[in-house]
Amino acid sequence: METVLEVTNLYKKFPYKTNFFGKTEKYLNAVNGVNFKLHKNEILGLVGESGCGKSTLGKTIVSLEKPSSGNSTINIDGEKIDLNNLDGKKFRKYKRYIRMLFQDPFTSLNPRLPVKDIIAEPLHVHYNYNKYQITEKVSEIMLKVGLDPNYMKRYPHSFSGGQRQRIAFARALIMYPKILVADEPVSALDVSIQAQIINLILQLKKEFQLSIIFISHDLSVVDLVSDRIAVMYFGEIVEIGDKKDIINNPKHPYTEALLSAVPIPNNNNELNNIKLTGELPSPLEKITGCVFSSRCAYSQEICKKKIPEFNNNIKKNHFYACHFDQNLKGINSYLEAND
Amino acid sequence: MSDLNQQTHFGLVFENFLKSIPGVTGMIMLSILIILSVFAEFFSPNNPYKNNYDHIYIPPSKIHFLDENNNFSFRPFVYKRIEEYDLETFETFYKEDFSQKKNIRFFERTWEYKLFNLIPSNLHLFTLEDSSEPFFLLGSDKLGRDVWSRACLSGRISLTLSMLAVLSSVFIGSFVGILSGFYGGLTDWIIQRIVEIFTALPALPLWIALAALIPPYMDSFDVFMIMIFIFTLLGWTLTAREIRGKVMSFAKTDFINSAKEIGASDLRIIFIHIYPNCMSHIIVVSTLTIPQMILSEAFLSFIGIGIQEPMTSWGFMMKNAQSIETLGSHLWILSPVFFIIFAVLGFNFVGDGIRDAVDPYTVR
Amino acid sequence: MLFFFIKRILTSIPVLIGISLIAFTIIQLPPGDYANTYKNEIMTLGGVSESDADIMAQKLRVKYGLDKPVFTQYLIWIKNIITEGNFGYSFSYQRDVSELILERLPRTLLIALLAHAITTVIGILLGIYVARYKYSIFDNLITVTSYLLTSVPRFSLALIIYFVLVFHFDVKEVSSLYSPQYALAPWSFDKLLNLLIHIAPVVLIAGLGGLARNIRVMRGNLLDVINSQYIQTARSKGLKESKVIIKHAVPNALHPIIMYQGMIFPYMIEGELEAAIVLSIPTMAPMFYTAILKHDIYVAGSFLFVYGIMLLVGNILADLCLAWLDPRIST
Repeated sequence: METVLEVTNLYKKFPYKTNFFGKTEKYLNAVNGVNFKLHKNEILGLVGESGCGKSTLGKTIVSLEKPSSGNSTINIDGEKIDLNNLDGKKFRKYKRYIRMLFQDPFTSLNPRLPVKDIIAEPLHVHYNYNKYQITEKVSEIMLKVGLDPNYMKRYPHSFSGGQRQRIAFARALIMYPKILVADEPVSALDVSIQAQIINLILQLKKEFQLSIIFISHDLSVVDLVSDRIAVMYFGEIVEIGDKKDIINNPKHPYTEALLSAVPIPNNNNELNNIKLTGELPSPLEKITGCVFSSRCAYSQEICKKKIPEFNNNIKKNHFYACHFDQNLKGINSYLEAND
Repeated sequence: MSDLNQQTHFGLVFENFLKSIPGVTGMIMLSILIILSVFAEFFSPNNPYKNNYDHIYIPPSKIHFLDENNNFSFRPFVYKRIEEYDLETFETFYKEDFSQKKNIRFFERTWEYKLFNLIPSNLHLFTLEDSSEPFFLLGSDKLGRDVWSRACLSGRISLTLSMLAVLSSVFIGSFVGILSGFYGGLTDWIIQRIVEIFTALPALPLWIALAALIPPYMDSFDVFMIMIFIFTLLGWTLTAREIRGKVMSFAKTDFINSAKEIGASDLRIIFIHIYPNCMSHIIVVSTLTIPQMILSEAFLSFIGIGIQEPMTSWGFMMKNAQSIETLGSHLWILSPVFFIIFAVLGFNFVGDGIRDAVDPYTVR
Repeated sequence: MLFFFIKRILTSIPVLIGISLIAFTIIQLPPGDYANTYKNEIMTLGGVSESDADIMAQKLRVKYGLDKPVFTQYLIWIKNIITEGNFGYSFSYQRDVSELILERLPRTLLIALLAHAITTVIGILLGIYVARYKYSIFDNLITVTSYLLTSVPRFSLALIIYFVLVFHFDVKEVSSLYSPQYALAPWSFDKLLNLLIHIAPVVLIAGLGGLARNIRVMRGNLLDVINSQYIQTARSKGLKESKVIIKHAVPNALHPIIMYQGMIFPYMIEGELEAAIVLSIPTMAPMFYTAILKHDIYVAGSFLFVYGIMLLVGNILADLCLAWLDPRIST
């Protein structure tokens, strides 16, 4: 499988406290050494709780933030490009291949611009098209995302949430990127609209031959849409693998806890989720041992001392970071409901 | 398909604005003032540019609709004035001669002037049928000139000066504020220190000091320009602070992030994304700063260090009221103050109206 | 908290230096110096010939160090202020400027602070009242009146009051601080009363505009707070409405008012300035004005500097009040 994006040892720290002379004393560790690959034409679901660093990871991949160390490279026509090393013209030349979709459709569109200008923004920035070409291209893309091009002179406030997200899609796809990083694209929408947008994503992926990183905190949504799933906790990827493997055979205790917490409709049983107890470690300090050990139900002495390695002793594609190899079927109503 | 071009933000705001009573009232008030100022000569029965030594310090004419027999006439009129001396104080006072009525006529053609300094005309809204009789709506000043006419004329200078001063302050202030809010960090820190120093300066004393610097022999137009400069010097800080706050509040929102992600240059982001979103705020701040400028200019001209001859402003017209004897005998010298109040109220109303129209959170 | 105080003072020092530089520079800007004014005066009033007048003017120059380069003059001035509290010498009054400051500054401060206190207290109280009885006739009356008051230029207000006092009430001593019988008398309660009566018009003029602003701001803030959720919670607890407002709403609405005090105080100073120049009340303002016209540089510069210091101190106090009320700021 061709690799379209590769993230190697990515760290991102934010200055948290500066002393009187301006030197930083404490850092907030948002992304703590992340490694993964994105394959061509796949949707990789990146799931984790709020604050685990997935948005920051997404932003670093699209160069909105510069990584503190490590890099992320994209594969364009056989060349490996690290966007963070480029600037100016070259940066713009390759930036068109990787695009980001933002979470909140209400704040991600400039309320003062008509939709046509919003969607055409990448065209204005990267190329010089004339008025007719722009209108043509905008119409074309609007049709593809399911919007009526006749409304392109309207303003964002006259569209519903779902339609606005489509506008955001149109903006992201108008230059036919190869990679899309979607940061919680459906979290701000009603459930019924979520289904529409998810279908749209699947359809667009086929049509544009996209490779997508789908960031979400909602495992049920990620399940619908992804080919592979990566589970993120506290700035690190703790498990990654094909969707079926992750859902049916989770190897990391955190994944198990996440799965057990998904509410099942029409379920007569009570929600029997694994309740995580214990304190979150501080994001300001360096972590000793496994990052999940303070809340893990199965943690042992070794967990606090030694950082677990990324194993894939079960299946070639299924990696997880735990010292133990367990059968975590435990309390897993999600699993049973979907069997 | 109808309704394809939906309302722009401006359209929405304007619609909202029309719903606000103070806003609309203010608009009307300002329009009246502007019309009076631009067409000052049209509204002046007397020539405000000519000194008339026969008619020094004449009190305002009394306009009647009812004559002494209580007959109502649609056409307002004035009685002929007789000058008399009070034998004790030697003060002149005026009595009305009820036997002689002088009618007020409308749309008459009398003294000549040039509309917009180009088109010659001699049409006036109202005049007295007998031009030898002094007819002053608000009395006359120490050179015999009609206070009403001069006040309308002064509007040109007072209003233009304040508006230009605010325009330039806001121009500089918004630019600095956007830079400060958008870039943050060191740029912001430095700019904030500079703003702090400027705001720590006491405004009025400083203006007095600066205005008093202007050599008395300087051309009045240059004085006008320097006054604008002086007001801008301290005025930009207010806008800078406000705009900085506004920019910081949305600099981290997603539409700015998405513009950055697309690769837009900073300049593009500032002009296409940030500026338009601040514009309403800028306009509100401007309309609410103009009144301060009007009041400050009035004071500086009043104490003699502002507008100079041959230009005239509302404050300048009241300069002679500085001596209590003059004021005591000729109270009408203060009439331009009504113009000032009218202007200030007008701008305040409009400013409030715009602010309410733009802010979605006010409950009407 | 103490740390915050010290930090605030430290950041004010460069600002202070900036103000002093600007004050001194502006005074120096007009061409010529006091020696010129002196020369003109002795020529016109004393009938001295031009060449003689030149010599005398030059002597004056040397005596007061006016012939030295500007920056040196500035340094000497600053040094004298810091080390001796000597603000220079007034040529027109033939006295030390520090004496003049001591004489005039307390009066200016008294008037400005009185005006400030009155407008703040009354403004807040009225603001609370009109917010409570929103849209009542009283509210509308006060709103209209306060709008009008902010629209009147204060110098014309001063003129009108002057007019009324002189021509209707036959007051003869508008421009003085005391009636003649109290001017040199020792301090007593009566004298204080007399002083207050005399400065009442100025305080009124300076304060009225600020009153209007305070009412509007207080009303606006209080309305915002009243509509917020925790006030509704307090109401649902069954508390009496007035108690709800006074105990819960007002303290939170006061917070922005304190911040606003930093802007009200300069406004009071400016109001005092306008009124005092028009009415010729012997405070700092008229002396400042004449000093500028006459090129009495040390008076003008020092007074400008003192105005700046007053504003700075006012701002620091306002910040301190804020920090004391809102612990979030000082940490």
